[in-house]
Amino acid sequence: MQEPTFLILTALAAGPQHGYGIMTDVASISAGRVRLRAGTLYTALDRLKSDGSIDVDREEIVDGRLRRYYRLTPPGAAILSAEADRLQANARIAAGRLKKLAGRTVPAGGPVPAGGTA
Amino acid sequence: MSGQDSPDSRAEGGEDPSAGSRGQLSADDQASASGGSAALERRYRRLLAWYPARHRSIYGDEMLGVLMAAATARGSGRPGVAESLNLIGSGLRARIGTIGTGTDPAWRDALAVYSLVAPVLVTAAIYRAPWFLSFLLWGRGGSRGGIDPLTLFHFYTLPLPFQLAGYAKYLITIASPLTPVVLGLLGLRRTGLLTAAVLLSWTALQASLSWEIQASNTVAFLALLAVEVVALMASHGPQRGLRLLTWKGLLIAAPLLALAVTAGLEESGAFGVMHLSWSVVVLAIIAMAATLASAKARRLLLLFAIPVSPFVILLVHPYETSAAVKYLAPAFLSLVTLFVSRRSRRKPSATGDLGQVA
Repeated sequence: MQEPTFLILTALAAGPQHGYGIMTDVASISAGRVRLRAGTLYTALDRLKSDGSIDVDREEIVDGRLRRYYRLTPPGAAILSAEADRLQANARIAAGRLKKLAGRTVPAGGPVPAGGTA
Repeated sequence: MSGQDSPDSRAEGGEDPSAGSRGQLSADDQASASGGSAALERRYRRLLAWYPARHRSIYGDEMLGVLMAAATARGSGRPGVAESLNLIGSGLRARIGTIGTGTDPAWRDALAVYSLVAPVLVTAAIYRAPWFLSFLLWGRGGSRGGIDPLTLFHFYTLPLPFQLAGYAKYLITIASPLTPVVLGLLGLRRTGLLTAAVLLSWTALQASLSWEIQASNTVAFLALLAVEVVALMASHGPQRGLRLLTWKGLLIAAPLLALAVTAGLEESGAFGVMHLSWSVVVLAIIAMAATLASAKARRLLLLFAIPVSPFVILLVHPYETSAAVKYLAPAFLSLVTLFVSRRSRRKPSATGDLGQVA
């Protein structure tokens, strides 16, 4: 799963949101690192909708313009959960190995700054 | 087509405060922006025209709202460059993606099988006599055969580097039609599509610069590649094709494929060998198509008839065949295929489109 897809599903895990809401939420989840453009967002939404990961929750007319709210479906939640588990497992292994690496380098490479092995 | 259109108000659509807290404008800004926002909306509408009509009817109005809200939050009066390129790119991609979605499933499945089988059969038929393709790929260097292992009698007396270069060139030549299939099987259908399109443009260009353009082999190869490009565009590609092939189909096709390979082995009279190989290829296709569901089989046969048709004409008029007639046959069959597939597409789309929207 690509990161924008992961972030869109994560945004919708908080509850139904409309397009612009997803855009701002994705920016805040990723601490401003990922800024979705409208084209990318709607390509992803169209694909996620057609494979059943998300669905239209409701439609509103705001200032004469259609605003559609999307929600995560149970299959979408399952996919997001599996991806989150995978990322977590990877992160755990990385953290564990880094800890070991730090442990090995302490006796050989001299002193390590305080808190460096944490 | 779809009943999703909401009332479309052109005026003052841009001051949508939306969910973002950054989209706050002062009253003065709003007053001066209302004229500019109509112009901005027009610009965005023009960019959204890159999307196919189906996509626009579902998402057009909604995307416009998002684009206007984002522009307001940025405080900018015109679409950004990166934003515009993103819209154009996404729109074009959606256009390519929807070429297949209107097609009925039987056609898409037939195209999927074609995208897998056609290049394999070509390689099987020409691997021993790849001269015309060698020429199309490498230009004059291919026809002169300087380092082609199969065209040069004293090839084995050449220094080793030349021999290796010759083998490399030969392998690239016969494997080139397979590249889109391999990419498709690896799940890279779009890259495969791009490769097939580049191969088609390049070989067509090379052919048009020489007499090769009149050869039946060339006409058939170009037609086959053109259908391959359409097949990769409009179907789920070789991966799906592989799933559709049955063991029964493979069992019947295998001996015929072997026959095509051995026909290619008979090196005497390359001209005759090519025709023999191709006719065996046709038999293999018919046999395989017969084992698929009948609706798909008929469609697959029609698809394969396009590249094979120049040879049929050659059989009827062995010596007096102009290049134009050879190109007319596949062109005519392509039109027939297009017409038939359009007609079968109309039926499901009347109800199918609306169902997807909701």
